[in-house]
Amino acid sequence: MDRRYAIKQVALILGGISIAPEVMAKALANATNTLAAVLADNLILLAEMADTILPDTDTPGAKAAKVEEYIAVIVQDCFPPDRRDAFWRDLAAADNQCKALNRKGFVDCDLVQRTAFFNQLQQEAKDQPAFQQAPSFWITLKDLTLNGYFTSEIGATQALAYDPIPGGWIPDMKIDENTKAWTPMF
Amino acid sequence: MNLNTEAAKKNKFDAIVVGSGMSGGWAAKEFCEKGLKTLVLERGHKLDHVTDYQTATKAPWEFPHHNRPTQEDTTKDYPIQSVCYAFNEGTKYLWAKDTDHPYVQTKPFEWIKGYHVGGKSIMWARQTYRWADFDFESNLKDGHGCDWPIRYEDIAPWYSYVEKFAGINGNKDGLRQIPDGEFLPPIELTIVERHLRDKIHEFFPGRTLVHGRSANLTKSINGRTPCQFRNLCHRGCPFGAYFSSNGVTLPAAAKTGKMTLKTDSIVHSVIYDEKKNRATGVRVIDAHTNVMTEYYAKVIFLNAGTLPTTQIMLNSTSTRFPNGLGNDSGVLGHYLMDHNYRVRLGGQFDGFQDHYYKGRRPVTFYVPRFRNFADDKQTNFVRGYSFGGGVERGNMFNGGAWKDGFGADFKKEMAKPGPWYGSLYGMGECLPHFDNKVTLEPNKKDKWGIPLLNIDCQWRENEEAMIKDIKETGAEMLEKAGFKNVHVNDTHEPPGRGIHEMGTARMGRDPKTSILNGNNQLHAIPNVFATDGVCMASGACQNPSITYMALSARAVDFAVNALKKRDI
Repeated sequence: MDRRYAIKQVALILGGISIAPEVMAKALANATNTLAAVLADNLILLAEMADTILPDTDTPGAKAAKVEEYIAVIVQDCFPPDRRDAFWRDLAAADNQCKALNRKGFVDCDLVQRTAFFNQLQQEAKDQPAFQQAPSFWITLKDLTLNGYFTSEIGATQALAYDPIPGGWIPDMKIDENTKAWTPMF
Repeated sequence: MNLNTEAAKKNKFDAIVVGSGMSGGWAAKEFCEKGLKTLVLERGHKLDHVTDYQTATKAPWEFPHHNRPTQEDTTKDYPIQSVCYAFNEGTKYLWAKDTDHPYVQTKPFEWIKGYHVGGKSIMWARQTYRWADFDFESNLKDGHGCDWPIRYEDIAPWYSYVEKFAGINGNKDGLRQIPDGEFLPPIELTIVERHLRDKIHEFFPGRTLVHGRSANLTKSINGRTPCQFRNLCHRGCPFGAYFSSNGVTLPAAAKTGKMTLKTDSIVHSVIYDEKKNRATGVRVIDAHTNVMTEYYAKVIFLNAGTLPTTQIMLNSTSTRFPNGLGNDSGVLGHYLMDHNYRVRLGGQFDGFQDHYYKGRRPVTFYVPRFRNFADDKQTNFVRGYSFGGGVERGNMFNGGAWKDGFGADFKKEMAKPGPWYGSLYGMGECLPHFDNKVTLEPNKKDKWGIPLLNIDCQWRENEEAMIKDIKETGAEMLEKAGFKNVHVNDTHEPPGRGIHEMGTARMGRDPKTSILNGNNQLHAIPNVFATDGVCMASGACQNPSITYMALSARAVDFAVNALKKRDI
């Protein structure tokens, strides 16, 4: 199957698909409304935290990919109410904990200070007793950051091996330690 | 001219097909190609092939929640539909809103619905396996349910017929449990899947693992584009590369010029003429205006899906049939089955670290039934089960939160292919139990005035005993193949979630104990047929849609011949 033919097909199809504009517009508007309800300071804090977890390297980091917006929208719209409320409380508590350690809020800390604070959170998460059901704030934050980044346009198309229309199936191929994972598309 | 006569003429057809989904699309195609003026009635909205697949080519970041369902979805609009594995932000436009379509659960039953042209043929997992000869004999041999009025030889040529047109990929494995079909090239296994297969052969004689078989094109047929390996089938395929009514059978029907497709048309009941002992047509409620209109035809095919078809039949009462259309036996609504998918297994595989693959497959592997087959005889349960599964490398970032680290090196790690992970899920046959049944609620109606369906169905002893065995055999296959940290989970999901609901108007030899005969024809009314899941006298463990397609094509052939001979 000629790959170029397939891609031309997609171009034709994209021209033809009636994306029910009202449906997508409503969904996007709802997301914008969701963001509007989140405190601007929380978005800034999340952006800095996410960017410390996944910084600019040879590819842009979490801040460039606006991962803080993803995190906020998922917490607001997809988390059950108690987990949602707990997240914002825990975020505030984390910043206070950072202030206790570094005498500065996370946003004002340098990389050394941020690293020390994250190491503290990481250790506490490991020390968390096994019977505690809900994942710690640290795990939740990392999970949201990772998913938000690698499903963002920047993360998905630059940090992973982006292959939107594979065109075929190769059941086995050799890779090395530099091989990136294929971008998952859902 | 008298307006009533004009109207009546406009509403008259040779054949009426209720439902445009997996089996209805086939009935429509077959009737139209044989020259009959056919009315296809679809309760849901239009869904034009390709142009209405709103999310087909969208990337995760193009969705507000990157494809995750929201709390509003899971708690308000789609609390039941959202349990479906395929439900997410990109596919939810294809699931019927639970708030619009209530039903009553006497016992928990998850009724998964797609109400639009094509029905669940748009969202199905596309797996297709023929029934074995012994599957048609199970009821006779162990006494559960009533004997099928057909055998494998009756349906085999029709499996071939539908497979060739639908386009089925698979490998000719020469296995009695899943007879070979008319196959396009199979989709190859990953290296670890081949290793698993080899270990299964080594340690478990009598068991095997084969290529999955599915309705995805691996070669172009009839001008259709083959699969592009995006694995976004559940959103509707812009290439038409898998079988759906929308992409395959309805266009063939439309091409003849004989099809009239009316959407937003809910069939309320079948119109029965006692003097002639024939159905004369159906009563249809407009989904938006609630206006009722009658349509007439010489032959009626009910293909609304297992539960809706039986709901229509139960709602079609008369002096002759006080308990529902054709229900002399009293079994209409009884013997509801599903496949149980309760057991999920998984484990990590540490070898082949420098191996990967390219593309996103729409089907993986299949472990055909090995229980109560050939030399295997179980004492705790009758019949059997199969497994589906796959061994793939996920992503490091999924679950990466639990790994230590953050920063530049961590980011690089997280972008790598994940470890090889094998998963298995069991698909267990459900016995036909009289007490697993559906009835009409006497006093509760939906917004169109149709009585709600009450579903009273549960897994029983044989299913539970089978589940215990599935856990053991699944785990031992993974362990012997070297998978680590093998975990076994029983989801305890109720019936319905398998989305293979079948039965309630079963085929049988005896009109005293069944609804349909060996031609899917009502024993009691010669011009009414049902060829969706409703007709199944037993469930086997194979994904059923290809069997519905074969039965539909076969039954239309019979019906058209019967019309010609004036038998109906």
